[in-house]
Amino acid sequence: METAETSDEQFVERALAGDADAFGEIVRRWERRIYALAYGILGREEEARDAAQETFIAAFRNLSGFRGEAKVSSWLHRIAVNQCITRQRRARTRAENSLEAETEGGTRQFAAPAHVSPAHQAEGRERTEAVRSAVSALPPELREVIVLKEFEELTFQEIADALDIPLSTVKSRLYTALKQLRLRLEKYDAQAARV
Amino acid sequence: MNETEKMNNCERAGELVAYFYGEATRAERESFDAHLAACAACRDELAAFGGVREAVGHWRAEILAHAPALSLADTFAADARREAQHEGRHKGETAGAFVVPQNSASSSLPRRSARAALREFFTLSPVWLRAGLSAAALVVCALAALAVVNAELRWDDGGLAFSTRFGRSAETKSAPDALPAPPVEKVYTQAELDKLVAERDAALRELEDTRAQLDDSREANLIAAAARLEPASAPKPPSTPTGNARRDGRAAPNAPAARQRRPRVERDEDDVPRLYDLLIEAN
Repeated sequence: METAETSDEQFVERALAGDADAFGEIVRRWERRIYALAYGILGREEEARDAAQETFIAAFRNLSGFRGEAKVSSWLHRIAVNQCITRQRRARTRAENSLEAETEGGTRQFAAPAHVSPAHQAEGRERTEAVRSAVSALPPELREVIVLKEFEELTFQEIADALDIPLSTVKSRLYTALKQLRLRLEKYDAQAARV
Repeated sequence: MNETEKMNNCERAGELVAYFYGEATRAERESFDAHLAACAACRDELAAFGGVREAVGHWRAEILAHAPALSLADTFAADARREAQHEGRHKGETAGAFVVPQNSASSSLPRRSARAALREFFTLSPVWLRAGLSAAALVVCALAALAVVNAELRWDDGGLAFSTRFGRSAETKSAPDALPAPPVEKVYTQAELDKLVAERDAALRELEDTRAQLDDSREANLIAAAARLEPASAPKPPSTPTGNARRDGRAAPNAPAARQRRPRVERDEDDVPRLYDLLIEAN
């Protein structure tokens, strides 16, 4: 099966026509990015993996409802964001949304490349952890827009469509999120400089 | 620089996001470029946002580099083939005629349980709906509880009154030393009174007859015993209560009837003068 030239929309058409491998190809293309998106919003590896799986399962179940009016990527993003919002609400209901406090278990400590010195590795890990912590500390509505913009590089209009909010709200939320992240990261940098 | 100093109070700060992400129109971009040359606050904020973006970008790159494979692609493909075979068997079609299921989950894909769906429904429901459902559930439980205790709610001269049978029985059980309630006096009709009087008279009569029979049988037994012990020519007067009663001039209420039923031999013995009486007369 040729994959590089085939668009997502063509794969959906094939899947609808009975190609058993077509939807699997869409999954291969998007699973890592959808996982990253979910991780950015949810902040926990386990939750992100479950949300990504649920996203593709929901997409597969509703494949016949895909009209082709939007891009497959936007459609998948919308499903993924809804999955993440659902999980966030569940977590809030269970009062388990302690993303700030969680540093072990669900939070993945990524390994640095081998050519980076241990001191830089540690510094990089700390910085990454600071970013993760700063993003996770954002209110959910701010976290969603900043992740959709920074991770998926969606346009303002695509974010507005995915979240079903006005364009002006997207801009104001993005501005607020950037300001809060700036303050948190600068505070972290100041503390790191003192140490 | 503290947080207050970092606040961008520029009136054009709202335009900064579109400029920063490259989504401003050409005219907006040119206008904002001119503004930036004169506004240090916006320049500072723009530079800071660049640093934020760089940091978030590094984090994203790390996430993508270590994103786990979900291994869903093969699962979907296998499931789709299985679905196609299933459809083909049922429709008598060849194995290539795969049709994407219409909003239906395939067999190997995880299905949500009813409990999970219900939990999700409540989780995602707005607060007013959850509050309404909770209130309705409470009302149903309260009504069920009232039905169980057989509650009675009434409005009379004394105001609103609420009582339950369960409560009354519980109150009685909890206060065993309490005085019992006074008995209610039953009212009888004249016919019932007459019937009761007749029943009482019949019972009295029966009691009298029984008592007389007992006296007769006891007297007969005594006479028979005396007759066996004494010769017939010199009979001893039996010292029976009956004799004493006759001496006293008093007779039991049933004496006449009992005397009538006595045998003739017994009457003859009574007619014989007693030694005690003769002695008294002689003195």
